[in-house]
Amino acid sequence: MSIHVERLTHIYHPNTPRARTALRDVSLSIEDGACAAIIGVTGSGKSTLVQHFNGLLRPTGGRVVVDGLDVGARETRGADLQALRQRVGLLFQFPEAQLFAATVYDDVAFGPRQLGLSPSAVRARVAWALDAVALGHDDAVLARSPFALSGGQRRRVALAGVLAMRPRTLVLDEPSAGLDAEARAELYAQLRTLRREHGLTLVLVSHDMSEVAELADQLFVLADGELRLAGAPHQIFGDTEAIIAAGLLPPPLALVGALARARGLAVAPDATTLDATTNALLAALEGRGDDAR
Amino acid sequence: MLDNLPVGIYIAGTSPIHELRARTKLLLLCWFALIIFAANHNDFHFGVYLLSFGLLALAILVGRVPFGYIWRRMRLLLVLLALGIPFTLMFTPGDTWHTFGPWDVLGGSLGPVIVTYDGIWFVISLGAIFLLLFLGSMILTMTTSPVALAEGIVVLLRPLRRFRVPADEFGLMTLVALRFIPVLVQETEQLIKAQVSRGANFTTGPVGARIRGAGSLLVPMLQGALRRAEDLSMAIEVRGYGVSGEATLLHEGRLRLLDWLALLLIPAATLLAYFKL
Repeated sequence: MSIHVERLTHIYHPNTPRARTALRDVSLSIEDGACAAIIGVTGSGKSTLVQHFNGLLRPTGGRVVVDGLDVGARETRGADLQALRQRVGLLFQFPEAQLFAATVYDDVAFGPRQLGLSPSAVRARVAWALDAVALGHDDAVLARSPFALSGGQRRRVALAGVLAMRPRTLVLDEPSAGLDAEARAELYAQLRTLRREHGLTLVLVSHDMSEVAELADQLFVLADGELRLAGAPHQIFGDTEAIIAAGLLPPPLALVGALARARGLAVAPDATTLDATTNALLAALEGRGDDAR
Repeated sequence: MLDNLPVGIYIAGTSPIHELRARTKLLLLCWFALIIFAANHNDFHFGVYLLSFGLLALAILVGRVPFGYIWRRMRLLLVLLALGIPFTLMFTPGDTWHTFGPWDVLGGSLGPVIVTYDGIWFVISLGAIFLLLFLGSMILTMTTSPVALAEGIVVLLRPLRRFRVPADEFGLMTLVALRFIPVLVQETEQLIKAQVSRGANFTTGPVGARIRGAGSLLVPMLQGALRRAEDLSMAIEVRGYGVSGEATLLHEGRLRLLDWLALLLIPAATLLAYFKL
């Protein structure tokens, strides 16, 4: 399941005084099974971009081809888009505000029921989805009102609601916003498991580069509706100036590397983990010998 | 999806129409309602209409209100008016203008339909007052920021405080309502998108599924609105609203020359048109 974006432009409210160009000439490709992160500050167009991936928005200019389906083409019908939305699950920002059913079970079952599955198939999917987000599916959980859960648990119910559609691609818009450190770590662990065990393609939207860097193998940096940087984390992290120019904070380790290089230490810019950076720093210090001390 | 909601949206600008105080515009709108109402009793005299619509057209031009906006929001009103016209013409009693029919239909006779002068004038006068008030309030909300509008209402209501009318509270209520319409619209759009992403279908499909879909919107919408109201009341409370008695105004300062001119010349001109044309 691949996503190809070619010269995508999106204008909100075209031909009115409120017209606003949210995306300008963006091209990128996300391959099957990849984990891509789309990073940018508020208003950089990242949410607009991902809403093209399941056909909620149609391009004003350019093309978006998901799984062979041209989202913007005139001959693409509503039924095609509905099928696409089953394959591409999209979890919005603060999804816990979108729960509505009387019980956790009914809420998670909303999507599968829309697909017209048999009651037993719906039940199986709900159980699977709730297990995948580590909520468990005993009756005490299923019968609870989602409004009686904590914020973090409600977000997991919302994620389960999307997973119950059994998408091949999962797009998450700022999935960790407002979560504490522990809940955040759990969320990313669950995403990692989903990817490993079910081969999900993941697209993460975030404004925090260091947070998604560990999970993602492709980064796309947006600023002012334009694609500024694209590549693997180790390719992008070295370019701290470009990251700062996009209004973002480079990961602390990348800054350490950049500072060391500015002081004349030969640290390779592609070290992204703590271990690699430490080793690179030590090696560089060794290389400099006595005058480093 | 909800782009064509008929709520006036403020379009920032610096035209003379934008520069007018909100209360000037409110007063003028009231004046237009009054004078048109009076002119409606003056059968087949078009002076006030021509002048009023001329002034509104001028306001649209000077205020640079995009015509497409007005048109999109006016279409529905025009359709409703047009639907009412035949019935009004057919069933208003009075002096006969023209008799249509009777016709022979399937062996029986239908009609005659008598169109009266009173019917014709009723259609014209009713249409005029609807269109004028609608256009006027469109121009008002498009050229006045919600905050200024709420303050204008407060200023106009203040004299009534003597009679224990809570003027400031009315102003605050207006402001909150105006301020949160776009927010709620945006939130609803987001919700629609979220539920559509989960396979909901609000426009096609079996009725049962559509009703389920509506429920999936209403519950979080209401919940969000209530949560917002709670947060807002807390925020207002925390900032000491009502502690010092009277809130000061940011936008509604003294009336300026432009305001005085508008407030004097427009009523004078329309009055002249009322009595002389």
